Amino acid sequence: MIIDEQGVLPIVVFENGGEWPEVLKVAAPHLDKRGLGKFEQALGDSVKTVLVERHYIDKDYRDTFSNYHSKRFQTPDSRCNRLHFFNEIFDKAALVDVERMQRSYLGYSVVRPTRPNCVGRTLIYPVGSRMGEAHIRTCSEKIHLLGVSLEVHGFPFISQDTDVTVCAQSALWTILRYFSNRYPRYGEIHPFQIGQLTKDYSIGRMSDGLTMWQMAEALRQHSFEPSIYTRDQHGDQFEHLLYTYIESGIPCLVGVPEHVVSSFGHFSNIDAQLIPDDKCLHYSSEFNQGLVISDDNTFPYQPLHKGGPATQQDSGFRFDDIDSFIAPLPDKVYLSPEGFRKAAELSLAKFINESPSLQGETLMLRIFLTTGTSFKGRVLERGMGHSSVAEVYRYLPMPHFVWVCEISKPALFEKRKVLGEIIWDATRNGYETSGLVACHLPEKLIFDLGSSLNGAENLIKSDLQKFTPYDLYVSNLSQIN
Amino acid sequence: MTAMVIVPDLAGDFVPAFDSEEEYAQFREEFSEEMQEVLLEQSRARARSEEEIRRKRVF
Repeated sequence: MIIDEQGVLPIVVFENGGEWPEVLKVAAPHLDKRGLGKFEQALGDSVKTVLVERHYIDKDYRDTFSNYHSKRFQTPDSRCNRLHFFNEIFDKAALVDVERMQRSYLGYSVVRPTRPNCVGRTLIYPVGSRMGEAHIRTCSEKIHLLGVSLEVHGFPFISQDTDVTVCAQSALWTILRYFSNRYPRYGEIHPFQIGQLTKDYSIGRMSDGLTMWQMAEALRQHSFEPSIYTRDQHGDQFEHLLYTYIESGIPCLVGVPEHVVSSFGHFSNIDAQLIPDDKCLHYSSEFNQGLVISDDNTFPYQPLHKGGPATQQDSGFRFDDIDSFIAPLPDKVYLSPEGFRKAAELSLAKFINESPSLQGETLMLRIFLTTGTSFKGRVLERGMGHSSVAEVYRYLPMPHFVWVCEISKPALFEKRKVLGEIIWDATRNGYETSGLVACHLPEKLIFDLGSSLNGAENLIKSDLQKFTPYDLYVSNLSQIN
Repeated sequence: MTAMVIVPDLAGDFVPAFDSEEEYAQFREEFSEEMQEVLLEQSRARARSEEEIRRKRVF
C-alpha cells in the first residue's frame, strides 16, 4: 500500500510482503530495478515500511555532481531520494512515535540519479544474515527524518557510479567513511575528494580505476599507515594475517582479480574439529569459514565463503581469488601481526615451564589488536581467572594499542573460554624485544613493571592459585545472526 | 622482593621473573636473534608485495 504517493515523503507499507515493486514505483526515476534488487537482497523480508524522502540533498552525491556532472552538457538531477527502512508497519499517524521509530529503524539508502548504479550512501543494520554466526565491525550515524533524530549502526556501503567512482574509490569510501563515523580524528571525505588523494600518482581518468598501490597511497594521504600483503609473498600466512586484521576490527581493502572489495567481518566455525597434525600451537584463524564484504557491484553484507559461493546471494569469489589486501593501520601501531606472532610464540616457549597445566598440551591461540583502554574496560566483567590478575591489569599503565594473544585449549575455546594471554606493546617496533606488557598463564602472572613506569624492562612474576577459565575478549567486533 | 607500586597490596607476591642477570641476558639475546630473522624476512616480503600491487589495477 502506498500512502501519499504524490507527496514529498510517500510511504510504502508492506502489508502482504510483496511490495518491493511499489517502492520502485514511488522512488523512480532515481531508483531502477537493479538498485531495487540490492535492497531486496540486503533487507529481504525484514522490511515492513519504506519511507521515500524525495528531494534529499546528499553530501556525497553533491560532491560528485559539483565536480563532475555539473560540467556536462546534459546534467542529471542534483537531488536524490533517500529511502528509510523500518521493520514495523507505520502509517502517517505513527510517525510521531519517536521511540517506536527508533526501535524499528533499519537504516537508510540514498538513491542517486546515476546509471548503471543508483545506490549511493547506505547505512543499514545487517539483518537477515546468511552466514550463521558472523562478527563484524560497525559504526553509527545519526540521521534526521521529519524532525526526529534516529540512530543506525552498520558498515557503510556505496555502489560505483562509473564516472567518478569505480570499485577502487567505492571500497576506499566505505573504509574511510567507517573511520570518520567512528573516530572524530579522521575527517569526513567524499567520493571526488578520494580520487584527488592520488592525483599526483595517477595520469588516468578516475573511471580507469586505481592500482592497489595508489589505494594504499590514498590511505596514507588520509593519515593511515597502510600495511600491504600479497598472497604470493606471504604464502600460508596470508589468510591468517587477513583474518587477524579483521579480528582486530580493522576493515581491509581486499584485492581479487581486477576488482577490490572491503572486508570488515568474518564467520567462523569454532565448533569444528581441528585437522589432526603434530602442531602443538593452533590459531583461531584455522576456524575461519569466510569474510563479510562490501562489494560495490552487489549489496551490503555479502558473505564471501572460503570455498566459493554456496548460494546465488554469496560472493562469486573464494579465498583463493584473494591475491592481496591492504590494512589501514592507525598511527601508533608500529608492530606488525607477523612480528607479534613470533614474539608471542617465543614468550610462550620461554615461560610455559611456569605453567604445568599448559606444558605438553595442544594450545589454541587467538591474536588481535586492541586498545589498552578497551582491554581494561572488559577486565572486571571477565574476571581474568584470578582476582590478582584483574587487579594488576586494572592498575597497570598500558600502551594506547596492544597486541593480545589469548591462550586456550581446543575444548575450552569451543566454549569461548581462555586460560591466559600474552599482551605486547603494539607501539614498539619489532626490533625492540622488550615489548612484553604481561604474560598471564594459569599458574603465573609475569609483567613488565619497568616499562609500565616508562623505565627499563623489569619483568616480575607471581604465583597464582586456583585459576579458572574466563570469557574470551569480545569488543572489536559485534556478533550478527 | 621487588619494589612494587602498581598494586601496593600485592607487592609482596612478586619476585624477579629471572633467577639471574645472566639468564635474562641470554633470553633477550636469543629472542632478539629470532625476531630479527622474522622481521628481516617480513621487510623483504613487504617490499616485494609493494612492487606487486603497483601493477595490480582494479576497476
